[in-house]
Amino acid sequence: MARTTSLTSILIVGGGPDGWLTALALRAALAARPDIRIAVLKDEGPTCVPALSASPNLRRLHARIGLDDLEILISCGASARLGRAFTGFVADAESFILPHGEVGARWGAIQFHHQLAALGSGLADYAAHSLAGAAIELGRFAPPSRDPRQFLSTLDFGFHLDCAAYVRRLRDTALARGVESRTGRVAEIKIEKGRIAALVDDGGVRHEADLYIDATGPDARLATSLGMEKEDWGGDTPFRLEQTRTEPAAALLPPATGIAATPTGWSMQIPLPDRTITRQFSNVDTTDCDDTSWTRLELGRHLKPWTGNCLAIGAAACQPDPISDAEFALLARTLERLPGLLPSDDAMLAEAGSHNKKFAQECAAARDLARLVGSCQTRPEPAWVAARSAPQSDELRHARALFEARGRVADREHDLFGDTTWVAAWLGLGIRPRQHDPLADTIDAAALAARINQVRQMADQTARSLPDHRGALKRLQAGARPA
Amino acid sequence: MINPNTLDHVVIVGGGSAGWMTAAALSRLVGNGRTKITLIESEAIGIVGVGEATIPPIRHFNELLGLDERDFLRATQGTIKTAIEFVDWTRPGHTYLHPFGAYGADMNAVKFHQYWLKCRQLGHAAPFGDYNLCDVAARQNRFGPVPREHQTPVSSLHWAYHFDASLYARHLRGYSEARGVKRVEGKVVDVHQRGEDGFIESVQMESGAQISGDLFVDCSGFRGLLIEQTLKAGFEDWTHWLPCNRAIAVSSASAGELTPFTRSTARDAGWQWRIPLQHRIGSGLVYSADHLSEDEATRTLLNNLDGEPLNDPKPIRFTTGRRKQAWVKNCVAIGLASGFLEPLESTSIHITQAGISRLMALFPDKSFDPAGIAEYNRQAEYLYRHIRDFIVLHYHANERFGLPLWDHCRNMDIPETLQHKLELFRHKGRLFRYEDELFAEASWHAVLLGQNVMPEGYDPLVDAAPDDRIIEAFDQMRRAVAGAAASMPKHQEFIDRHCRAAEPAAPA
Repeated sequence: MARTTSLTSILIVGGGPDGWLTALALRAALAARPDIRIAVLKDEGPTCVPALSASPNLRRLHARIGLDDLEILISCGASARLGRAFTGFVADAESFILPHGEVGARWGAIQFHHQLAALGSGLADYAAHSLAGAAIELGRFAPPSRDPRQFLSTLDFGFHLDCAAYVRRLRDTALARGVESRTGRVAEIKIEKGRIAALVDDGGVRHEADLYIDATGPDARLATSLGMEKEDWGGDTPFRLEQTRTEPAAALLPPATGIAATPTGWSMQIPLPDRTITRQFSNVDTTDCDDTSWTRLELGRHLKPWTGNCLAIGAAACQPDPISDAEFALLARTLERLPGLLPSDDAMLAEAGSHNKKFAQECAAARDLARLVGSCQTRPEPAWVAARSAPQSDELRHARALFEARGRVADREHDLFGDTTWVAAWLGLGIRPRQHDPLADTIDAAALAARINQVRQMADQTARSLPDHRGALKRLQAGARPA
Repeated sequence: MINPNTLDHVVIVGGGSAGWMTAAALSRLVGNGRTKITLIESEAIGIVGVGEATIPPIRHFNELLGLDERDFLRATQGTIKTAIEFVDWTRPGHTYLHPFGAYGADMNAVKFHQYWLKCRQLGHAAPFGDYNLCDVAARQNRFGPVPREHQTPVSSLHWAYHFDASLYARHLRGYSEARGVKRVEGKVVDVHQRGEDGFIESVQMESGAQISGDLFVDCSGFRGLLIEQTLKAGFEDWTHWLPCNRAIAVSSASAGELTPFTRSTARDAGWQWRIPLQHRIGSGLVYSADHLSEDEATRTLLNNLDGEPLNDPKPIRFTTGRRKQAWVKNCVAIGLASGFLEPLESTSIHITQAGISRLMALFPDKSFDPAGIAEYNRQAEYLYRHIRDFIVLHYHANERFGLPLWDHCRNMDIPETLQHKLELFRHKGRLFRYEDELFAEASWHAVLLGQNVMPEGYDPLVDAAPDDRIIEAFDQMRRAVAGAAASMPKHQEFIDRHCRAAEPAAPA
């Protein structure tokens, strides 16, 4: 029986986390087709930032690929991320947390924040009703339980990763599983009729494949040479210059990424066990750019990241404002979808169209979440005032109006985030619904108060029973496995 | 703490299944001690529903209300539905089923139907339906729980119901009245709007009484007494894609074995439905008045009944499309007042139920925030478009050559969203589907493959598994499905044992 596919080889250009994760995801999907070659041109690619802050989407990807999260947590200079802790965005609120995992509990069909609203208090402490929120406050961590009867099962986590160690780990795994690693950088891209015919590396070696994956990061080398059209998001935020600094680790290791607004920009603090990496984002219009330590972010997305026989992924496809935390969510969605869309003929038109359509909506969600933060913060400095009034999509405007009116999260097709994230973000930034779910008024007020109090106590007590973050990592290293 | 802006009074205009479903669901709100609910209906105005077929989400709605399934079936002359049989749709002489639930089991993260496409090429595939339990059981007129020894990953059962819509409305009326909903008998003759903003202030009854309210739910049916006649919401006409605009309905005596499926038979200028209830069979012909006269339609219908007709055939006129805004100011249209799609995929009750859930989720207070209204209208539009595309597919993918209606549908331009789906599927059997679409992949597969939209190839990952392994796995699945189906009782037996309705009075 003749194969129906002409797909025999895939070349991934870029040896960053994006490239290796793609290689592993494809290798896993093609486990029974060792005849399809997967190679990574590894010297090309994004310059690795020293540390990554990854949302729990990365765990979903690990599960698909067959990587053990806990093992990665102890072997890649990593620490756990239970959420993101924001400070300095709202004048009269100290800080707020966007927690991972579940927040509170539904009452029948009534969402938890509607219960808080009906009670008339507690909306400002929304995240404190989650185990992640309580554990972040106390600096505690433990791996989630798999037993749904345990409160510890409501927890979820992401990672803070030493990028170089993580990439080494991904690469070693990929090589062990039959992915081919090629050295060299792209010197020439041969294009014929809008498709890539071949790549020539800086050693003069020619590389050909049926499908090319552009994982070269923001440079998007293949996509750019194919003339892919880009949507520029530069107008969304003035904070488009990045600088990274390294500091010694704090004694207490926070289990959260710190997101701090300052008069001149904002920073992302990534606490690794042995050092803290801070990514500083500053105003592109007022910062002295001659200083070469600054990198300029080209925010935006490609309108058709899959064009011809080339698929751009990761930052090569979309570079969202880092405050959106969408990087791994976008990558995970792309890689979850890709095996179902592996091309089977040369045109790839239907597959490309299908991916591009969904990806566009996912990017729109990422963009809107960043604009949500930018438009709701209340800082007085001119750059922040400008960020507040920068344009926003109709969809975001509608979503805000709806949340303010009814406390409901607007439905969006191919949303990148869960309702809890949107709710925690609106509430954290001080947006309050004028009205709540009328069904919540049908609950007896005393019973409601008692239950909400119980949820909060449960979160607090469970968090207190956990070891501190550093201690938890040590226990894992010593071989303790979760219940 | 009750919001001081909480509505004092919700007025539902129109009974029928839409009105009473709304009343029943909203009666849960009465628990706040403040909001009153009144439903206005007139015995003089007929309701459209005779026999009604549904899809599985109806069970969530009944569960939400806390209805007992067996009481409900007894009260509504209800029967079980696990599939729709499409006769002559693809081409004369051809039949396929659109069953509920999945086909086979995915293997190695590759979809089942992709393997089926390959097996078919290899000449080793049984008909697609043989791998779906609802399909196989429906063809044997069986329904009932699968005994433990026959439970496998391919034996999960999904079902909905056929019932008498007017009995369902009556059942829910009892439920609603017991929970504080007040029923007012009579006809609405006039509608009064507030001068300053055009909100509906009150409706005037034939008796002269005025009923005022904060929120009005328009369940008045096609005409849209409030939403259209008063508030001019506008209508998006889809007749160019779905040209049928008439129906004629009749009940007939039961004959033969009780089937657990709805039947839809393609006719020259439309199609005929057959909905088996416990005590009789509801039938009707949906047709295009441009292609068939009412007399011919009536003749066609009466010539194709199982048993004696039990009443005079009742003509119905409709225009396919949707209300451009289902919620305007303080008026929400639920059911037929919000739009009309022919009942080819049994979605009428579902559209009503989805409208109610949406209204509950976005329930307003006296400020009537525009954002909630916009969200309601947006979600309503999604649902209508998704269902529309699915129905258009049935008409478009036909090989009924030489019949003007069918030739038109085969050759017409179809919605771009459907065009995109068809291209992707024809290519390698893939589907582009939004996560929250009503019809799951299996439903699209059933109709696409059923109507002979055969992909040119299949997913290349299928070739990873050796042919003999696939063939063996397919054999096992087919046998597991067959075994589970054979272990179920007959549908009639299930009804007799659990939810036999009392003999009805002579039908109206």
